Amino acid sequence: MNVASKPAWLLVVGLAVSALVLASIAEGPPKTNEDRVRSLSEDFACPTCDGQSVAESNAVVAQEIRREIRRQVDAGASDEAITELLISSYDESIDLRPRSSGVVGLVWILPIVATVFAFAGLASVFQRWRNEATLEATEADEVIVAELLRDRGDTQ
Amino acid sequence: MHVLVGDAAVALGLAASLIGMFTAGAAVVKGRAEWMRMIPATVVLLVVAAIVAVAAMESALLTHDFSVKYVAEHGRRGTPLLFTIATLWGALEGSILLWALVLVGYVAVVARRFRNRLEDPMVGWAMVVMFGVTVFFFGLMLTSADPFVTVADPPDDGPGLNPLLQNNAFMAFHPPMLYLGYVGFTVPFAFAIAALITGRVGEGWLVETRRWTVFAWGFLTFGIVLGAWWSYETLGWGGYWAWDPVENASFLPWLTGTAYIHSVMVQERRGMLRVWNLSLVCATFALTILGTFLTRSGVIASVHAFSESGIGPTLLAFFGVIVVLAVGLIGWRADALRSVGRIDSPLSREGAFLANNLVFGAFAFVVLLGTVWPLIIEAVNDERIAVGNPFFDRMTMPIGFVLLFLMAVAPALPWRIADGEVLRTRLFWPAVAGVVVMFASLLIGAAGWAPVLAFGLAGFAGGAAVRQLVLATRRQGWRGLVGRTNGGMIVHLGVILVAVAFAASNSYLRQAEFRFAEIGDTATLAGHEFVYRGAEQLVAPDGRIDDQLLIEVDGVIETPALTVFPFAGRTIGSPDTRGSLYDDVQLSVVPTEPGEPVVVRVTVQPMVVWLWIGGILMAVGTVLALVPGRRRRPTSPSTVVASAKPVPA
Repeated sequence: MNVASKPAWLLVVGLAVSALVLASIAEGPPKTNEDRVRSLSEDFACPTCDGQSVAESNAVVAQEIRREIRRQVDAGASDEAITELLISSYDESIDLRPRSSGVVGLVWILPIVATVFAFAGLASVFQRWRNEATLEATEADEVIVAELLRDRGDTQ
Repeated sequence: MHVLVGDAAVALGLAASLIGMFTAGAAVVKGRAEWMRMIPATVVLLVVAAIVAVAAMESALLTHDFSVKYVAEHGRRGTPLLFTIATLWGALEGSILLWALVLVGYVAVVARRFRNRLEDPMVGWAMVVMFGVTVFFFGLMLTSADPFVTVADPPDDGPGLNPLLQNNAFMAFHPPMLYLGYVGFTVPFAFAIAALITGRVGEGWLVETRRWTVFAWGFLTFGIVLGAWWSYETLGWGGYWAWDPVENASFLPWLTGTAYIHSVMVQERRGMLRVWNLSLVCATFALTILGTFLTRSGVIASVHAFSESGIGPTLLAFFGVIVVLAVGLIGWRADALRSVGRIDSPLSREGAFLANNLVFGAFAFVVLLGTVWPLIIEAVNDERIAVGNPFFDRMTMPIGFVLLFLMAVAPALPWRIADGEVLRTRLFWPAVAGVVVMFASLLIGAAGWAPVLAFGLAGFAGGAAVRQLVLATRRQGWRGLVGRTNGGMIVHLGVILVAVAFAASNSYLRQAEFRFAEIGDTATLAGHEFVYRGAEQLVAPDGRIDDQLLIEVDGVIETPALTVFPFAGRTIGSPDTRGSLYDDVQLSVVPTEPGEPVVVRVTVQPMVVWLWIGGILMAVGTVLALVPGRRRRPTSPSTVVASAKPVPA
């Protein structure tokens, strides 16, 4: 019997899905405050350092913001509260996550729209090719083929 | 003296480029093929000019001739030899000079490779285009990026290179690698334009340019990996890729170039995707220029943009010319470019390559959009915003999953049309490999669906690549490891390692800042133990001062430091990284006031080393792909219509 039978495939797919389920309920190492500080500091730009995030930079202001995030995290502030606080103390350009509304939000939408259009275009091209492929032979074609076959039969 | 020689060499280079461009142009336009015989002499002149110009600059740097402005601004007497040599590509004018040298090298190799076919109009036009590009770069060096300017009142010493650039030897090798890649895309671009002008848009030009593209792609890949390595070792925050504009600028042509390397196979086999392939080649070259504009003009701030100047408008204009030329020519040749074939089924090798190209296109779009979005928003909305890591990570993660999936499935797909039964058989063991990897990762403590899915897909794709290589070596012995397909599979294995390392190191990064007040203080993170053993100061021969801490990590002393560059008036971190195949521990010193406890930032990340191993494997695979393998004839049985119905009797 072929190992790659349909039941064997069902088993493999089933195992893969259960691995994903296990992974999403598994508890990794506990998230410490340090981990939250690190992941939050990747979301904010260091105001003085040419596009580096607060996590990357060791500039004085980046260290100051890291300390501020640390204080807020230790005080139990939510991510949203910390974001609001930092935007109000600096300005919106400190937030490395472009907001999802208004003109700015288009940056999240455009790639998705473009990809959907591209795949739709590709699908329609395939559809067209398929239609071309199923051209029926006309009666005239049949006659030509029949004649050719007959001719070949004569010469053999 | 250096300025005189250098300026003369640049002027000679411009003259040779102009002569070459007009001679080759006249030869192909007037049909006077014999004029092309002048080209080799012109190329020799151009090579001499480029070498003399670079030699003049290197000589000025090595002899500390501070009457040259570039040396006065970036040189320094105490700089170690390696970095003095590397100062050539440490700032804008010098890096344009290096660009010109590499470009001239490519022109010379092309001229030599095609020396017996110079009279072929295709080669003639390609030479015209390449000389056109050298005209631009030598012209740049005579105008807005002049490396040879005299200082009226030469200083006794200069400030030296940006300290970040001379703290790690990788910096000496990363830019030349990157440039060999970047500039190499000029060759396929020149042939693509030549094909459009001569109307020979069939498959001939592809055969000429395929290997050049793979060659350039290999260097670009290696250059990008070296850049990431440098940034990891130098910046000391545990990151190696930050979606910084400069990184994105090098990544964009890589994405379109990778798409081209795949889709070119469809055209070779099936004569399809002609417009698409021409567009990809032109886009790749145009993106190298756009990237240079974005990062060198100062329109986008980046920590890696080590120089700014007024060359912005010139580069932007050149980019415009390239785009208009390419789009215009493709439009003009639209009729000749109509494809002859069609794709029978989406479930086929060529169908998978089309999907691959769409995904790479989407990837490039996301990266480009995110990079320029702050500029666009500032222009239309007069508002300052930032687009960073969180955006790119979130948008590119699904793209990465799709690419891994395609990497698993595509090698198993036959050309033309796939039969479900065949696919089930071919993909079974790779799929089993994927599931095994998922459970193995769970056993060693992986958590979260996204990284585990990435590991599973990586196992699936890795299984497919290994299956392909096993079959090939069984059939052909060691030749089963060379040639485009097999070398490509080794590159795939490298990409898979990079993907796994990326997912693991980003998902399971642990970081903490430890404060050590007294010798003997300890701390622990992610199973590693840290003991503070004191501090010491080292003065290097070039004058830099390392204030280093002695930190015992699991029993071995590591020495992260803050390095003071008194001559540059800057202090930068010199992190210390200890790597193993399992995880990396990186220590960096956080500056504090004297007398306060010392603060060390510790980052522990699994599998970082596999990024570099994967990068090296990609380079090895590229080399193997360039070794000619057993070539299939276009008439080999696999290209015969598989779905042909029997002729009715």
